[in-house]
Amino acid sequence: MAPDLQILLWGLAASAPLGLNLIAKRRDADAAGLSAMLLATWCVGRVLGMLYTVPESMTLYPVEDAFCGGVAFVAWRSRRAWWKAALCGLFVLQCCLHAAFWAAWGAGSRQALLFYVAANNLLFALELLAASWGVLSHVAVSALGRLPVFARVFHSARAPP
Amino acid sequence: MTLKEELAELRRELTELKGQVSEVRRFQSWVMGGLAVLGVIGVFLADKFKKLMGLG
Repeated sequence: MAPDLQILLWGLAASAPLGLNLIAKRRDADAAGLSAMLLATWCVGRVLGMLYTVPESMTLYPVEDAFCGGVAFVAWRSRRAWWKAALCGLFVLQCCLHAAFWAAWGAGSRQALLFYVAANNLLFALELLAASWGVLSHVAVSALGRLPVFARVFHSARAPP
Repeated sequence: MTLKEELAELRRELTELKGQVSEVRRFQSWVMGGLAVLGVIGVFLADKFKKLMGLG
C-alpha cells in the first residue's frame, strides 16, 4: 500500500473515535477526551515524522505513551469503566514495547524496527477500539434492540425489577 | 399535577441538569489540559519548525 494512502487511512481511523463520541446522543466527556488525546498523539507522531528521520522521530513515543497512560489511569480513577483500564493496560504494554525496541536497537538489531512498527500500529488500533467501545456498544445495543427477535430481550433487560 | 408532584419533577430535572453541567465541566477540563500539553510540545518543536521554514 502507498505510504500516502496508509497515512490517510490511519488519519481516518484516528479521527473516527472522536467523531463517533461527539455525534453520540449520550456524550461521555472522558471517552471524547481520551479519543481527542489519541488523535493528538497521532498528529504529533506525524509532525515528528516530518521533522526527523526514523528512528529519531520515534524517540518521543515513550514519553507520549507514558503520559497518555497516566492520563487514562487518572480518568479511570475518577470514573471507573473497564475500557479505561484496558486503555491504560495497552499504554503500559506500549511502553514495554518501546523499552524492548530501544534496547534491541542499541544492541545493533536493525530487524527490530519492522516488528516495532507493526506492534505499535496494532496496539494503537486496539487503543482506538477501546476509546470508541462505549459508543460502539451503545449503537450495537440500540440496533439489536430494533430487531423484533432481540427487542423483547433488551426491553426486559431495561425494565425495572 | 399537585404541588408535591411538581416539586418532585423539578427536583428530578435539577439533578439531570447538575449531571449535564458536571459533564460539560469535565469536557472543558479535557480541552484545557489538551491545549496546555500541545502548547508545551509546540514550544519544544518551535526551533525545529523555524529551521525547517528557514526562519532561524
